[in-house]
Amino acid sequence: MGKSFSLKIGNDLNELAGLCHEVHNFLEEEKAPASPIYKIDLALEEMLTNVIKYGYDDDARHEISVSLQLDQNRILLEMRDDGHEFNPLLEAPPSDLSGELEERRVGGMGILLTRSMVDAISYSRDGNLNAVTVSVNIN
Amino acid sequence: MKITQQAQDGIINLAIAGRLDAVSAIDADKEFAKVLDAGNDRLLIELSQLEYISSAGLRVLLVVAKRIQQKGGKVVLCALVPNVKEVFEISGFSSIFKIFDNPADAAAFLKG
Repeated sequence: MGKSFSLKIGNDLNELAGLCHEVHNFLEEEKAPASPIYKIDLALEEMLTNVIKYGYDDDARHEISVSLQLDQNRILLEMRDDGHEFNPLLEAPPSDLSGELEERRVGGMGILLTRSMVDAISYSRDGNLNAVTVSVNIN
Repeated sequence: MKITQQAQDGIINLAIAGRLDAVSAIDADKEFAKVLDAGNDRLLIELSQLEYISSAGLRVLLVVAKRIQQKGGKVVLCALVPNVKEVFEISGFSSIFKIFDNPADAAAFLKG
């Protein structure tokens, strides 16, 4: 049971925008509720923007693969990239969220938001690939 | 993403509609820069039609808040939908912005 969707993009922010759009439309067509769709949209944008901006040590084109599985209870999103090893679960949250405006840093915020909003997130280093899996419950 | 502007009683009301993501954040940044460059220092940002915001969108608002603070002005937000509100709470942005439930309360604060 359930539907799935998979796609590959290059390490390019415009391609990522197109992918986010497609995933969003797929989930809407499958009648997923708005709140889980928001969480998946956010996870996809934040995690892959980070990979595309900071994940590579060269200027070559790289492939990122994304797969999505949807069933009655949850949405599972898996993202795989061949960037350098990066475990988002070990990323420290931005320091001192209650600090003064001038000191506030938004860097790292995307990862914090994703970790806080999704129901589960896991990381594995699979050969030369980073694999991040995000799970969002559908209530 | 669409930003609609309206000026009233020295307050600029900016309604952001749609999605404020990594792509639209670039346009939003320019739009807000124009408003601030024109000397406006009291902004009411209305978000009832904002469906989605990511960290890139938060960054745009942070830049606005910093510039307004330097000018000695005020910026307030109002009418956040629940998902957007959750993002503000997790990120800590709800403690750096004055946030009101409706535009009338937000405007009253700016006039005060």
